[in-house]
Amino acid sequence: MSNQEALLEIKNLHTGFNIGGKTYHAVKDVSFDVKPKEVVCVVGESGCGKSVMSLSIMNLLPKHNGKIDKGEILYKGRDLAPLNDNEMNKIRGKDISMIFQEPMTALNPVLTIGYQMDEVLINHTKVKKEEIRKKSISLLKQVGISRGEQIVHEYPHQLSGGMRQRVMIAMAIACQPQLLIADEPTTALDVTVQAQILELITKIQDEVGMAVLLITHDLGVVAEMADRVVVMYAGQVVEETDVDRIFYDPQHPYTKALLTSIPRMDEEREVLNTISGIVPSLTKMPEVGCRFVDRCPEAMPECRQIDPQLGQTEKGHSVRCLLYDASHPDKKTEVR
Amino acid sequence: MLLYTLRRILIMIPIMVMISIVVFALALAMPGDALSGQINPADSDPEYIEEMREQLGLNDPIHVQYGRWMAGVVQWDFGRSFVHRMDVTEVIGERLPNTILLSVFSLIITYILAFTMGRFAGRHPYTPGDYAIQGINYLMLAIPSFVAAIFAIFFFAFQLGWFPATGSVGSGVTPGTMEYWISKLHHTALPALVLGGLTTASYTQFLRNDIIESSQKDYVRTARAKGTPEGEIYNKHILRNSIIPIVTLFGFDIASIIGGAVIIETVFSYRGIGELLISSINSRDSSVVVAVTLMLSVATLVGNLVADLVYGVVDPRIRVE
Repeated sequence: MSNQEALLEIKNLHTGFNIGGKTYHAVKDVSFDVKPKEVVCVVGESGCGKSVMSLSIMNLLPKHNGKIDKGEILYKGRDLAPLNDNEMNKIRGKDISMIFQEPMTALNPVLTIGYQMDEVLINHTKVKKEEIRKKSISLLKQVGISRGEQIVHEYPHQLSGGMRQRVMIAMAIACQPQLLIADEPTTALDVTVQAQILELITKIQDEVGMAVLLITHDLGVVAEMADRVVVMYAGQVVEETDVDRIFYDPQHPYTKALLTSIPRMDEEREVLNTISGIVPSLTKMPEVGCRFVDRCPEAMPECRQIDPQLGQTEKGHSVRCLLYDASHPDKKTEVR
Repeated sequence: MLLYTLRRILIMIPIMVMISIVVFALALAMPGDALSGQINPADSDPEYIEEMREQLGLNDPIHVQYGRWMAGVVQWDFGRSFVHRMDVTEVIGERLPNTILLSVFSLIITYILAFTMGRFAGRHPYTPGDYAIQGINYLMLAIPSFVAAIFAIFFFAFQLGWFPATGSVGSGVTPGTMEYWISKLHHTALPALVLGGLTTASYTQFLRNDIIESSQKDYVRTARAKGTPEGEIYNKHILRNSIIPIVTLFGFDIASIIGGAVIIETVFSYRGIGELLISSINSRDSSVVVAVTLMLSVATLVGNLVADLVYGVVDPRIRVE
């Protein structure tokens, strides 16, 4: 059943990696939607599968061992998962764009900025050569680089990290995509530059009218940018709701623990709250039961035996935890 | 860029002077000297030997001999070859074009083969094709050049008769004619194929490995995320990065163009600089040895300089401002 309003629908996505002959799922049964012009933030620790999930959407997984095993990725109703490279190339950079975490290495060091910017337009449009360079320069202006005419002749090593990320954004929006996937775009930047880049993304989102799938581990960024929030843990979605409720009514123990671990200025404490333990490694995931059970302060015996499902506790709020009937396979009345 | 080049060239001068001193000293230190290479000591009159020695200036102190030599060098006079009874410049002048022809020919073969195989193997790693190419490479690296040369002569010259077995040009051919040039090329072909084929291996491996490494870099992922077709990713994005290490080899190649391939030239009796060097050492023809060694040193220095300049062209990160 497809949600007609949604721009992007991820349904039961399973992405596996072949390690030593066995397939391990870095993303297991992930489902959520992104509506047009909406900002959805995917939050989680390192290793929770959020990057793999985003790479799966664009089919940029490493070819030799990564694969979408199961599930659908519906973009405007069309499943992207089975498409080959040629077909995906028509969509990448045009309908869906992606920017990455490390601006320092994301650009080709031996090609000029101008070449790399023109490339997107050459790939997807029939604009004439002279017009293409002009458009690249105006895109650079749009992302706040005023010296566009000079920058197009320069090389990436001559730009700062913040400027390189702006160039990445300019390349991403060149063809007015409907969806921008931003995988931790500010993690590698200074805090002040981080604020500028986030502001820029908001401004661009308005101007282009696109949806943003923003992946981050920083709840501050979530508070600033998100309309809706998807919390991931160990390859699964554990909670999903709008940004207000994630902060004022978190339901999953993991979400609650994340929020209490944020240091606050109005509190006096000597020891920071942490979540004990670590995310289970990909090859050592429990076969049955909740994956958070070893670190959960509210764990119950049945948590090790029953797989909690992602269930809706109230309208627009889903959670994957046996503390809630909606999540229990035998007690649930409505499932997403 | 210009200032940098000039500075490098100026620095080359004192280096070359030092090299010339070392080479000259080594040549003098060789057992025997130009005279003893010519006469039979047992047969000749010791008085005559002494007289000749005095006349040829072989008894003068080293620095005097060196000074005499250096004075000649700056006037482009490298002395006379005792063996060939010609000016050294003439002897070298005869051989140098042959070596250059052989080197350029074999470099072209190397580059064509290496780029074709390296790009294929880099783009399709761990496939049967890749393993086959690597197998060929290891074979070419392992076979000594004289073995390969002798096999080549046996198969292609004697058995099949496609190429002449030795020499650099046919006998009885008038220089300057078309016939002459065709004969020259025909004679150069087999040594060039052997030489070019054997040196392909390191280039191919370099290129293949760098392409595989580059294909996992972030900028490739960015290019894919922009919808760039695979062909352009390999032929523009990756290749422009992967030729940078090849430039290192290119610098050595410039030097080798002059130096020649000693073993190949000797086996093929190819009249080039490499063969000249070996035979001159054997016959104690010190003026030729010194001149050729000096020439090779200059070629190495120039090759390094060219390589450094080419780096600046292919890698914008290290352009000299």
